[in-house]
Amino acid sequence: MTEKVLKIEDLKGYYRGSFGVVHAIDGVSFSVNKGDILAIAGESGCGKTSLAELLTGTPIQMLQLEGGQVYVNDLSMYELDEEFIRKEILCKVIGYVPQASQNSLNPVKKIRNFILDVTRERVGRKPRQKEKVLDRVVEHFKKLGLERSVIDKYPHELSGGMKQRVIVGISTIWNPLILIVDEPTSALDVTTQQLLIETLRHLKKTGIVETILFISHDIPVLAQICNTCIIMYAGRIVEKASMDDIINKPQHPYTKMLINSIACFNPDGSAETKLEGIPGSPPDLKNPPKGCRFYPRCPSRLEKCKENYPPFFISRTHNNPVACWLYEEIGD
Amino acid sequence: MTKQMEVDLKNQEELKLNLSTRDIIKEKFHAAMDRYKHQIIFMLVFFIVILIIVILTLIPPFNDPDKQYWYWDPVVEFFQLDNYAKPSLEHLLGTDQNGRDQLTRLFHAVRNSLAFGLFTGLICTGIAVFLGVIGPYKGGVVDGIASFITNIALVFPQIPLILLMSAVLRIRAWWITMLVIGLFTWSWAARSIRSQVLTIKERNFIKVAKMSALKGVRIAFYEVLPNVLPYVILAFIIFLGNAIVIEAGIAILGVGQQNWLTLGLLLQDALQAGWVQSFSYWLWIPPGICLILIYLSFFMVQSSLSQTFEQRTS
Repeated sequence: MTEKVLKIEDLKGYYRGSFGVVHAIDGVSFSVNKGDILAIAGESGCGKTSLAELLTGTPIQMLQLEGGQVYVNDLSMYELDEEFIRKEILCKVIGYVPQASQNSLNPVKKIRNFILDVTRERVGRKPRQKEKVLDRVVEHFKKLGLERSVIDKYPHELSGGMKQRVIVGISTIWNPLILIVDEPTSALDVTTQQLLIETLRHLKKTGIVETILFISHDIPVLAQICNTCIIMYAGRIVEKASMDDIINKPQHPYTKMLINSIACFNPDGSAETKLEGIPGSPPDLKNPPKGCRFYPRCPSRLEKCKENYPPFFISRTHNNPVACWLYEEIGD
Repeated sequence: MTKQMEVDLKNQEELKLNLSTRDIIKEKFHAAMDRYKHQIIFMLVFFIVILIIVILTLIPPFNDPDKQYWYWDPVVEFFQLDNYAKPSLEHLLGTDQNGRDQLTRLFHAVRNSLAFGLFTGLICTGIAVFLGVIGPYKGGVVDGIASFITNIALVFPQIPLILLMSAVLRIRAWWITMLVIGLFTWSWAARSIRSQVLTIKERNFIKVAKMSALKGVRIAFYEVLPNVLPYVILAFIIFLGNAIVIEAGIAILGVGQQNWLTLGLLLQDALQAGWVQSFSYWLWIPPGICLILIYLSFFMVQSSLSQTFEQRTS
């Protein structure tokens, strides 16, 4: 039996502010096995980043946990002391690469000083430790394909891909159990994306990180690295399956349309299928609809979709949980 | 290590230039001279003038502002106090009613005024930075208290309050005046630093620092504060100039400190001893001009600094 490093039960996180209450995460539960590379995909504004923020245990002020549990290594994250989370969980168990990590380095500090700052808590302030830490970090950076001279530079002297890898390096200095990568490839060109994916694969192969949570809207990128996938829509999970099943045998109407809207071309430039978008836009999460959240945009909607939110059904043919009334009869 | 990563590593090595430290310093100096030539020259002149004044106050004959000068009077065949002497080669700015050299006193006054401004500026900046950074960083009750204090200090009429406090406190010690000025002029800087910190603390690198198990206070002062340093320096310069002028103002009215001989005290002497009416222009025009020049140069430092810093934000 595989060990479950991360278990999330009925997680709810709302943004509360002068604009009202936004139900960003509304009842999400899944678990991650040790050694998995899990993809979380979906449109923009579906709660992927909010989910990542909640998983780190230190969400931004407006985002508040409203219910549910996050278990990291069988420890309930939101029942622990903040000081304990800071000392024991962060960067030892969970590493986090934030969204738009191009801007994730302090612009007024050299990489060296930033690293010394962020490692200080673990290392202490003994003067001789500095060189040791830097040597260790440089060795670690070498594995990610970064030169020693990188640490003597300011962030604006590095290219986007290098900054990204520096951030990945900083997040993985202490060999975290789980690495949460939030939209790492969104601002990179294709070659740099490839390099980053190779870096992540390399990190997994050498055992620096074992479990990766890869959040992205870019399904072709996810397909290269992940083995399981979760599709989110409007703050809820609509389908969980292995990556191959998501691409080849999508079940939920939303997943189907999402896969259809990927631009994929043959090498000679001809497209196999017509590129189709999903009409409409995600619902306003300030007052989410009572029934299925995809109802207004769904091509194969049923009458009862409007009033009742579907639970997860597991069909015999596919064996993957999917939240759609279409699969109700098959499940029985 | 994959093949692609090796290629990338090789590219990085090729890009690296072998420069010696001296070359780098030279290059950076030239780059700075190209961009900020006027500012650098202006600052250099300013600091050299101040340095000369400070050094002059330490060496004779300018080291004692209270020394009285006498001259041999051939009529009564006795030494006479050399008071109210007009500017001459012996006393470049003349002497006052006690026969003290006015130029010496002016040098000391300029030095003391600057020192006074420096310390008061430090007090103001310290309070402003502390309240401006700790408030938004801690949030909640701490932020409420910090911004409440700032708002209270903002709505107080500063100058009347400083005058009143100085008049009520009968102690004419230098540190009392310093504290009174320091405690009532910091508020606007705390407000602007607070707003800067509020935007910076939502940036991504703060999240990275947080996820690296850094303590909150450390993040606030080691990661956030360096990013607002331009504003802190600007605020410090403005405080410095203001403190000198406010001190001179309350000293002229006679409620300021009496320990340090500042420009304000020289001007107060001029008013009290009736030098303005008696046309002893050499006793009150030079301190006045010095005061204006000091305030003007701090204003210019501050405006040139804000030009320099604005390039970063665009």
